[in-house]
Parts: sequence; structure tokens; C-alpha cells
Amino acid sequence: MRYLVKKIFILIVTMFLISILTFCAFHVIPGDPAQLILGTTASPEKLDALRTQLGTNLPLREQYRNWITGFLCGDFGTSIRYSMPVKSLIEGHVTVTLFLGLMVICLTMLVSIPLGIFTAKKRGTWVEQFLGFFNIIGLSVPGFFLSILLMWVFGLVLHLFTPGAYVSYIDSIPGFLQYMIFPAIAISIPEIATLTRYVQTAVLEEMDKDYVRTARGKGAGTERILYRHILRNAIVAVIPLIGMIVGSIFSGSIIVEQVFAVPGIGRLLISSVTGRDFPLTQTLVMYIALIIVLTNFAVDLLIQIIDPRIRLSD
Amino acid sequence: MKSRSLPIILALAAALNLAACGKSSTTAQTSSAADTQAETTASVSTEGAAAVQDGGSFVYGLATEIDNLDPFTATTADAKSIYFNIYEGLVKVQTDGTFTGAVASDYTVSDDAKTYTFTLRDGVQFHNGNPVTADDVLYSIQHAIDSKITGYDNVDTFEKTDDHTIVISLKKGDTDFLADASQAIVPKDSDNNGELALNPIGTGPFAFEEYAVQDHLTLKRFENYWGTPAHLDEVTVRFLADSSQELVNFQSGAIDGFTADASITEQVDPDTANLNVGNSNAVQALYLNNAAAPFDKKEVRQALCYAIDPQDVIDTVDYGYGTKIGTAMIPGLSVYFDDSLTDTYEANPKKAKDLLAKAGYPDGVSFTVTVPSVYQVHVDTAQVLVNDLAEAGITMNINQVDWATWLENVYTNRDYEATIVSVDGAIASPTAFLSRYLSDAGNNFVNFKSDEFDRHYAAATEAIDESVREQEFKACEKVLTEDAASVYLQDIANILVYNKKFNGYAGYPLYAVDFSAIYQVQ
Repeated sequence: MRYLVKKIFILIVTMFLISILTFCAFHVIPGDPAQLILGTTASPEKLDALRTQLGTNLPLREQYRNWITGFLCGDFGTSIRYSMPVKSLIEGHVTVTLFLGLMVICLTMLVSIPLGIFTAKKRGTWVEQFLGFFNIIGLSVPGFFLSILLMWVFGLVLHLFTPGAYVSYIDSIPGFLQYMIFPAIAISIPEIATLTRYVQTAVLEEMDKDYVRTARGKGAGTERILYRHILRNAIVAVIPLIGMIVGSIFSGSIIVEQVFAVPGIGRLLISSVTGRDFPLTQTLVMYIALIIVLTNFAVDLLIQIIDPRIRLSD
Repeated sequence: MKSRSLPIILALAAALNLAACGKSSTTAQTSSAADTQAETTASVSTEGAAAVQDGGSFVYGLATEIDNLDPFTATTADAKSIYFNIYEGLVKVQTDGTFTGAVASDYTVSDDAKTYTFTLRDGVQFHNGNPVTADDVLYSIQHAIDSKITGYDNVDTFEKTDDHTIVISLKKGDTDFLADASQAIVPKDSDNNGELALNPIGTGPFAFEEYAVQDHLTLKRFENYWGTPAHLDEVTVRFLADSSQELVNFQSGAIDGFTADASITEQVDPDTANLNVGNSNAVQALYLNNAAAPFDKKEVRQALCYAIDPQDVIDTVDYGYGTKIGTAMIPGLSVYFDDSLTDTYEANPKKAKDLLAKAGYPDGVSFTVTVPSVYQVHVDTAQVLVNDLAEAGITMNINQVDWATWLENVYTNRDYEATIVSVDGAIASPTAFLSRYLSDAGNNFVNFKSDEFDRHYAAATEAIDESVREQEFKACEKVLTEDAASVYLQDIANILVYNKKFNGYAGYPLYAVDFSAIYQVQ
């Protein structure tokens, strides 16, 4: 219990620091939202009127105070760029990115765990070398390049989907999934490469331990040892990675959503920063940070459930 | 473990959505007027030409985003180009730049250009089904004044003399006011709290259907339109993340058309695409900070004009499609554009060097050009200019910045040496392009100062006689060119690419995409 309270306290402090850092970063970079909105044909009177309306003419401390009090009450303000409440803007976009994230996690798990075990089993053979080669490629190809490649191969050559013709989940779930599978693959590939390598290493490490030799001495079959004994231990080493993957899903989605024209959180974040849309950026950053922090929190708890030997220090 | 961690993430996200104290009232999306209109299907007569087929839908790709659709507050050029199809003013601009009646069927202008009388057209309906009344017009004019729409600060009084006549009196005579009278007419009290931003109601050939941010916007044909109804049933505007996706999406069939710069002409297949070449109606120039050394010396600015050949930029960056300008005026405003100024400076590196030596820079000059990186065309232009200038012993370093930074540092704070952008005008009038060069203008970001210019400008704006006005504005342009306020390059070409399945598009001398002219080919 004490552990939980401590964790929650750290969580609140983290979120508070993130909010201050974002706020400062946002006000260090040049750019006046009022001037951005009105453009080069604006008159000074119109600019002043808009600054007052947006509240950007107030001292920074006051601006932050206004924002945080609103935020704590669930009033995230109005987007400067889209003239809509931030809340309703994010609601539509977060669903898309959540779906994308789920697809990425599923894909990553489904591919990399079996693949990691398989390569571990093939230790020292040409198969390991061969897969290791692809692993390096998967790790090093930049997300945007992968996205363009996928669009070209599956969209323009094989005609499996129409690049750019995003289908909303409101209109058609199958159409949505068919379109989203490709951005999901683009984000997954580097994740799969990382996780496969981790699973492989973890399994190999366990294979050399004494309990494996004992089990083998008792006459247990290779498969039984692998799936009943080794995997359970190996997986504990891999779980913390899930927290990291959630983080990279968001950073991956920023680029991939842009290339695939998916109206998700990543794309919204880019346009909110270039548009100096402070209420939107700040809320998005808080949202993403909260999801990442909470996932890592959940991962910590999960490890304890799976492996009761691990008692995180109180 | 997968089955355990995923529901947790989902649950947390859901909890976040509910975490509000309930202080803010979420705006309910009331269904637009178009819903009811769609029920009443009017019979649409096909036009004489056999190739024209009514119906169908058109998907237009847009690489930028709109801010909102309120004609009194929207500022992005793209929002305006789209709501051009939804709203109409008392008058409406034509493809040749002249104005004809829209909500008003007729108008008269007094000789001193102080009194404008509009006769309202019979049977004009809003998209919500209500007829347009004089009260709606009065509300729209008052709202334009309150919203500080350009030109409306000059309105002295406005009234309805009867149910069909609106009289507007100006404080001082302005022959340009007709352009201002194309400002949207909206239903009375429909925009008191900016409601039109997300739920526009106008009288145009298309009615608003729905808008999903960063996804799409749908327009439906308005069946009770007073004029020639649109050919297409539906237009979808699809928002793309950046311009590099336009071509891919066009080739994949996700979009039927898009607007691009001239480099697109090399990339699309002319057998499948129609190309409509138009002007961007903006002045692209190497703008020089006239208050910062070395550009505070007229000779140095002139040296740059001699060192640069705008034709190099037009050929290399704009594939030959741009229009040379030579001064701060667009060729689209043909009456006011002085085309004799385009050849004031013939490219001549030797002359440039002499001028630099005369100004006290015998070893040449070195400066930094700040270019907004979002505009590939300006970045490319900078690279071409580096070569031109090097021949005259001038070193130009390129510094790319994002648009927000450009606006703050260059445009607002005027903290720069030189920059390359295209400057557009808010309305189709010479004042929109020339007023920023007045010595005391707030938006005079090149810091140009000339008593002669100010004098001619004052004479032009006070003139009622059209020929005097024309003459004085041309004199202003001449001062800008001869004093080399900046190095004026071109009016960049703007090209609408669309699928050969469609035809009929015609461009305007302002930023607008008229969907009502587009039709399917049989």
C-alpha cells in the first residue's frame, strides 16, 4: 500500500513537472498565435483584440495559472487553430491513435515473442544469422521511409488499400482496420526488431541456468523445458519493455500518421505546435505523458503479479 | 500478459475522458440545414453540351488546414477558398475580376463613390430554407463593421429604404467598396457568438454538410440556389498532412484534384489530368530590410537588382510558368500593373559590382536571407539566387526557419537582413499591395521610407477620377522599383490539377476554388 501511495505521489509530481516544462518550452520558441492566425494582412488593432481574446497578452505566470486551474477542472480550453473545444477535438483523435496503438502492440507481441524463441532455439545456425540481418534492418530503417515504402508497395503497386483515402471507424470498421493495418505495420517493425532481440537474449540467458540443466537431468523434453520453465522466467525480463513500446508508439505515430494522413493524436500534435496552439499542445502532451506514465506504473504491478519473487522496494 | 495490460490502458484512457468537472459545456453538433434541403430533390436540367453530366462527387485534396468557416473571423486563405462556395455577398467576383450581383440583383454607385445602393434579388434562400430579407443584410453589414472587416471602417451609415433596397453611405469616397461588398450575407443573429465557424449557413451553390478536423469536409449541392445550380452532387475536401502526399493520393485515386506549384507539371500524366494554370496573385520578392546595413544604401539594393535575373528563378523554380513583375503589384490587377517596370534592371554583374564599389563595398557584401522552410518554392528560389549573386561578388547565406518564427522575427520584429516570401493582398485592390510601403505603415516590414511614395499614395487614394487613381498608383510602383525597395521577382504560378473525368474549372484573380463550375465528363 505504501508502495502504491509513493508511486502515485511520484506520478503527480512527474505530471506537474511535465506541464511546467511544456509551458516553458512553448514560450521560449518564437511565434505569436495571434499573428499566425491573422497572417500578414492583419491590422494592429485586430491583433491586439485577438491577443486579449486569446489571453496571450497576460503575464506568463497568470497564463499558466489560468491554464492549470481550467485543466484540473476538465476545462482544457479552446483550440486556437481549430476554433473548437480542445476536449471534443482530442476525443475524436485519441480513439484513432488508441486503435493504432492496440494494433501495434498486438502485432509486436504476436510476431516477436515466437520469433525470439525461434531464433534462440536456432542458436549458432545460419537461420540465426539470417534473421539477425533482418533484425538490424528493422531497427535501422526510419519510420517515414518505411511508411512511404509500404504505401508504394501495398497501395500503388498491389492496390491493397488506397493511400490517403482514410476510412473513419464511424463509417466502416472493416474499412478502418484495412486502412490502419499498414500504418500499424510501419510503427511495429522497429518495435518487433527490438522485442525479438530482447526475447532471444532473455531465453538464451535462461537456457544456461542451472535449473534448466536439472530439468533436463530429470528427463524433461526440450519443448517442455522451453515453454514451462524458461519462457516464464524469460518473459519477466521482457515486460518492462512494454512500457517503452507504448512510448515509442506515440513518437512513431507522430511521423507515421502524418505520412498516412491518419487523423490521430500524432498529427494533431504536429499541427498544434506549428500553429502555436498552446491549449491544444499542452493538453495533448499531458495526455500522452499520462498514458506513458500510467502504463509504466501498470507494468511495475504486472511484474510483481507474474513473478512474486520480485518485491519492489518500499 | 497481453490480455492483462491492454484493458488497463483502455480503462485508463476512458477514465481520462470522464475526468472533467463538467464545467465546460460541449457544443452539440446541430445537424446542418443541408439535411433538410437534401430531401427536396429538384429536377436538374442538363445543359446543352453533350459532355456535361450532372451529379457525381468530387474529392479535393488540401495540404493545409482551415481555421474555421466563419466569414467574419476565418483568416486562412484555404478556409476562404472553400467557403467561397458556401457564402455570397451582395455582389460576387467573376473570373475576370469584375463584380456582378449575387444576393443583390442590381446596384448603383454615386458619382462621388460615397453612396452605394443595392437592390435585393427576389427568391434568394439561405441553406436553412429561409428567404433573404433586408434585415439579414443589415445584420451582416453591422457584423462586418463589428468584426473590423477591411473597408467597413469607412461605412458611415447604412439603412433599408424599403424591403428590397439597401443604401450604404461611406465616410469618404471609395471606388473599391464594391470589392468589400462581396463580404458574406448571413441570416440575422446567426453569428452572435461565432456559431457559423462550425455550422456555416449562406446562400451559395453548395451547402455545408460536415467537418471532421484533419480528415474531411463535405459540401452538398444547394438545390434551391437562385442562380445556375452546381453540377456536382457533393464535394469532399480531404485534408492531407503535407503537399508531398498530393501526387500519391491523386495517382491512387484518393483525391480527384488539388492545387500545386509549377513543379507538378513535370510529374503528372497529361493524359489523365487537366491542368488549370493560374497566378497565385502574390508578389514574390527578395525583400530587403531597408533599415539595416548594407541595405540602408540605395546603391547596394540596386546592385542586387542588377545581380539577379528573375527569369532564372521563373525557369528553374517555376518551370517557366511564373510571371515577371518588377514591382510590388500583381499582373492580375491589370489596370494598375505597370508592366514597363519589369525590365528596369537588366541582369548585369559588372554594373552590380560598380554600384557596390560606389556604395563603399569594393570587396562585395555578405548577408543572410531568412526563408520560411514550409514554402519549398521560396527555399528553392533562395538556392537559385545564391548563384546569381555569387557572380557579382555577393555572398548570400540561407537560414531556414519555421513559419511562426518567421512571422515573429522577420515580419513583426523586423529583425532580419533579407527574406524571400510571397506577399498577398487581403482584397483585389492596389491598396492591398502598396499600403505596406507607406513610411508609417505598421506592416511595412521592409522599413521602406520615401516621401515621394507617400505623396503619390495619398493622391491616389483621395482621387475619385479613375484615371488619376491609376496614374498615381503607377507612380507609387515606379518609386518602389527605382529606389529598389526590394528585388521583385515574380507572381508564382498556381496550378489546379484535376482528373480528366471532370472538366469546367475556371480560376479567379483571388484565392478561391469554385466547385460549382466543375462537372463530370460523360
